Amino acid sequence: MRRDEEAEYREYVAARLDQLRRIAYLLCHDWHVADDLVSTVLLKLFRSWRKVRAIEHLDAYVRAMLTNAWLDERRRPWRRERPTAELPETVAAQPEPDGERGIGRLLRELGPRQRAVVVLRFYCDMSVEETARLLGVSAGTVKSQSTRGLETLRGLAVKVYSGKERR
Amino acid sequence: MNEYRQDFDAYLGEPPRTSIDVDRLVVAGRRSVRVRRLAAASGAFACCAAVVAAVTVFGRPVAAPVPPAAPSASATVSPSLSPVAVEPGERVFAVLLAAVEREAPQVTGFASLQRRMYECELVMSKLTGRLMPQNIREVPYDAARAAQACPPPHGNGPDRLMWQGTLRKGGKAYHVKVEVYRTEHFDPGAPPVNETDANERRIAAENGEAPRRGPDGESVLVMDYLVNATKPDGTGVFITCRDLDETGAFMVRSPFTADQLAAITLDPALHL
Repeated sequence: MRRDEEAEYREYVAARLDQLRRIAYLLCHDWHVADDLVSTVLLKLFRSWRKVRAIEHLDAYVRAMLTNAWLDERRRPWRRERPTAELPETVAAQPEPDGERGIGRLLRELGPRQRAVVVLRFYCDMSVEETARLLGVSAGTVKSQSTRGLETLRGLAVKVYSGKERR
Repeated sequence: MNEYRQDFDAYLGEPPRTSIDVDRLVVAGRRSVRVRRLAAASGAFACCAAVVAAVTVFGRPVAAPVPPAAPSASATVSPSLSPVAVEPGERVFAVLLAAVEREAPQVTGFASLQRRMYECELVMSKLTGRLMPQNIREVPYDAARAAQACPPPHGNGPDRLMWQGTLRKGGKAYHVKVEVYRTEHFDPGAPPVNETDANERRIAAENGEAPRRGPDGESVLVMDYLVNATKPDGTGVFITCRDLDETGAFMVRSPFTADQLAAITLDPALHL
């Protein structure tokens, strides 16, 4: 990569890093995992920078890389639950910053693809067509998934809220 | 800005300090590009070596694999192989190549498929006092070093096989990775075994990602760029593809169709 191309890459990363981390966090709900995902994507981007820098919708392209990296990671075979005699070394889950009714907790209740649709459509402000192209599904599927995603969010919010009221 | 965006931003608040260091990324990227160029330069040699290896595998008699169940009428079986014991990796690779060539004859570049293994460092777990693997990375397979490079149960073993390479179709290049490993099989046609299984199935079904049941009870989740399958004998098959040219046509991520990937995976001879 030439010096000017590398400078351009650095400039792009500096300008988009915060936004990419936020999108990654909304998908995976863990800042460490979000940083790992973003690092992976930015490394891939560096390798192909010479070719992709001229793409018209570079931001959409990078979001596609990020979303696909997360969806692919979720499908890794070792994510499947397996019985084990040894407990992994994990820390207790952090409480949601916005409480049990918060959008974060509700978002986590959605399946991966539905969550990706909701984040891309309503956080990244992407159109139905852009989201469909990015996720490799039809526009109709995006429409139905975003509708169902929002319905699920609303339904969960009402459920949690009324459950709290009854207590 | 839509109304939800504000909710999301309020939820996210001020993100914590990032661990991403752009300078280190750039250094890693430069190294990666150098390695790729080096690999490309030595590609001709590697291809010749792999072709010789493939010819050797196909040329020599290998053990007849025992199918996990009676082959179904719909599934195509790879050619029968003669009964001389060979290393499991060679047998599975031969079956895999035969299945890919049969199901996707327009795909080329099989000679680039290289067997891989894990390399890791073993550190003492503070909780259990046992050795656990860390910094796991993938390196070219070396039979003499495999057992020590990252020992089982977490690392290399006869029940964990990996290959990766660059396959081509229609002028495009795709990175393809194949993993065949021992796992637990859940029959998608049987009732859920526990609440987690039930919940996972519900979410998968809602997202149109429910694994379907193969002709011999296999669990198969397949898309054109990915297949994640388990077989009743406990063999797991995981294949991922991504495009290498990254020209922006990011929807074309695989040299295979979903049907081709399913047919390759469901070959009854493809098992550990």
